[in-house]
Amino acid sequence: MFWIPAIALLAIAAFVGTDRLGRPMTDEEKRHFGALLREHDYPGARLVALRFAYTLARGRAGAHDLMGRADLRLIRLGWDPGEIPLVKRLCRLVWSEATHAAGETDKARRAEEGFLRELEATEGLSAQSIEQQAIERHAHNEAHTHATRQIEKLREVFEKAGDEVNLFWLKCSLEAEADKVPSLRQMAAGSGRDVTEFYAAAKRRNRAVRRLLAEERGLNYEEEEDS
Amino acid sequence: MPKRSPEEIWRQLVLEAGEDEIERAANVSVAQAERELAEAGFDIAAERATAEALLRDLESAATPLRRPR
Repeated sequence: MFWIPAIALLAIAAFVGTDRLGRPMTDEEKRHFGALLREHDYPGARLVALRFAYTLARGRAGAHDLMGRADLRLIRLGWDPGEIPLVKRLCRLVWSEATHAAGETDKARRAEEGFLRELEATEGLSAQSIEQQAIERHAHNEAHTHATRQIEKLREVFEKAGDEVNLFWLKCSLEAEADKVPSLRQMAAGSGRDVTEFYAAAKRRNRAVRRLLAEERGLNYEEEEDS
Repeated sequence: MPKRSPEEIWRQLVLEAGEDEIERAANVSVAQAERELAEAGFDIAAERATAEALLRDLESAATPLRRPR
């Protein structure tokens, strides 16, 4: 029967990452993931992502740091070649790391601890101490405070601009249950506005977020207003 | 079901805001990336060796993973 090997092939065509596995990779998974990365020219894709990291970090040391963290995220979060090309996956991870957008769950943290134990065995790196865990908890709390502050800044931007559509979007996003976040079409229906207003608002919102991110990095932000 | 945390919402906002930039970056060719990185002082051979080391670690499997630089 043809479909059995086809399904088996699909199952091994992607690597789900140690976060979802909830444990370090087995030897077989490592071999499979290594072969998958090689097949998609990981060294070349990594150079493209490193160039992106350099433009974001504006320095070689910062770029290496970003790229190293993106590599680690790749192992933790996995990659599905059927969903996104490797080079774009790596660039997205670089962006996430540069903007501190990469979040993690407790399960993810446990998986990383397993990975760190592997490192300890080969590289002499210390697995996380209690002190380190306390530092991470502190970092988690800081991330919460930071996100809350950024969202408040965004609200202020929308209020100042009289951007009612984005204020409505923000309200819906904050109030919706995690598994019931409304689509733009649903928000449009709920607000009695045309959905095109929400598409235009998304562009303004993206610009506002990029401006906040640039400010955070101490950069001037200039972009043409096109809507 | 609980509401999304501020971190989750901010993460979504940041990723959406970066999509265009990510798309542009990912469309750069490997040759162009190599050229620009070399101009910026990166050692391309060393960068490729770092990537190869990770692949070798994965492919040889019984060997525990080395942290990518």
